Amino acid sequence: MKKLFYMIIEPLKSFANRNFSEKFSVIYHKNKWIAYMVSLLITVVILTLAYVIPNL
Amino acid sequence: MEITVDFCLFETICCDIIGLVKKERDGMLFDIPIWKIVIDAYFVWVLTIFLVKFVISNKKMMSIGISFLFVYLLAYVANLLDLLVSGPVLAYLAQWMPVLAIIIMAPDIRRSLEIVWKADARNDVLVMGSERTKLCIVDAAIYLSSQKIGALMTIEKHNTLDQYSERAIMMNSEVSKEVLINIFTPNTPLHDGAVIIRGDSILCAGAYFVLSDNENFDKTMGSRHRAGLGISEITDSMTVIVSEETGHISIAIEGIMLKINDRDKLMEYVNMFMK
Repeated sequence: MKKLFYMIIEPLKSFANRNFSEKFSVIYHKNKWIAYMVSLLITVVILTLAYVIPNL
Repeated sequence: MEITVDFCLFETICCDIIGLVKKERDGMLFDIPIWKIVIDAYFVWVLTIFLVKFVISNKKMMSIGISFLFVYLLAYVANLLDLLVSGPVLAYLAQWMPVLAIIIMAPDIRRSLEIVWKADARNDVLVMGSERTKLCIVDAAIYLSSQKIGALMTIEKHNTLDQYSERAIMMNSEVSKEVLINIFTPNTPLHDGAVIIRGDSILCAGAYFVLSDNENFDKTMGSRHRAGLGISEITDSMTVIVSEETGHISIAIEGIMLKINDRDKLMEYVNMFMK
């Protein structure tokens, strides 16, 4: 309840306190191929936005 | 009526897809030659890999990147809901954030770019020091502390410290208590700066790190401590710092500095880090 209240009042701070960069860093160093997969996913999204959606 | 509209929409989408398939047969997709789309996709992928690696290479950069994503997400939601005040404000912020980031993060961007262009082969296989190396580091730190000789020993983990070692004096020697003591002995050419330890070897001596700009950091601490904290903020390394004034031993890890004046405690931290 306190956490929820804190999240409503200070969403940015609670988001920052979760230490996402540290978690991502650990995951990336354990699985190097993640950078390529994330890049592929971003590429697919960009190409879909650029090619598919305007032509629908 | 609603059903008719939905059916029309479905029909339109089907026609579009059939049209696309027909065009694809002629070597065209969305009225653009397929080979052009493939080349475009490849270029976008290559640039995205570069960008992703660039952001991941530095924890500060990653924090900024995540903040960016958060602001862009908020801006998207505000735009979607057509919010009167926060919509334009967030859109304006999202537009200027890349420029702000370049100004704020200029030194980190330079370092990250240096890392991205380097071969990161070393990081594929993580080699931490042996029990003997750990003992040598701890013994050297304890001795230097007893003699009030300032020291800065950085132990590398996943993030490469090559960009610092390149500007330092390369050693590539085996870690030993005697060598470490000799390096930090005052009035010797190598005593100023940090020693970088990679696995069981001393990679270099006399390395200079970027000082931490942490506002909460004790103002009485010298630049040696600030350098140790600085490197721990941007990499996953651990730094053992011996104060020249007090002889106190501290370790800097994950942007936090801990004072340690007990051999067992230091050994425990070194063991935890180098396991």
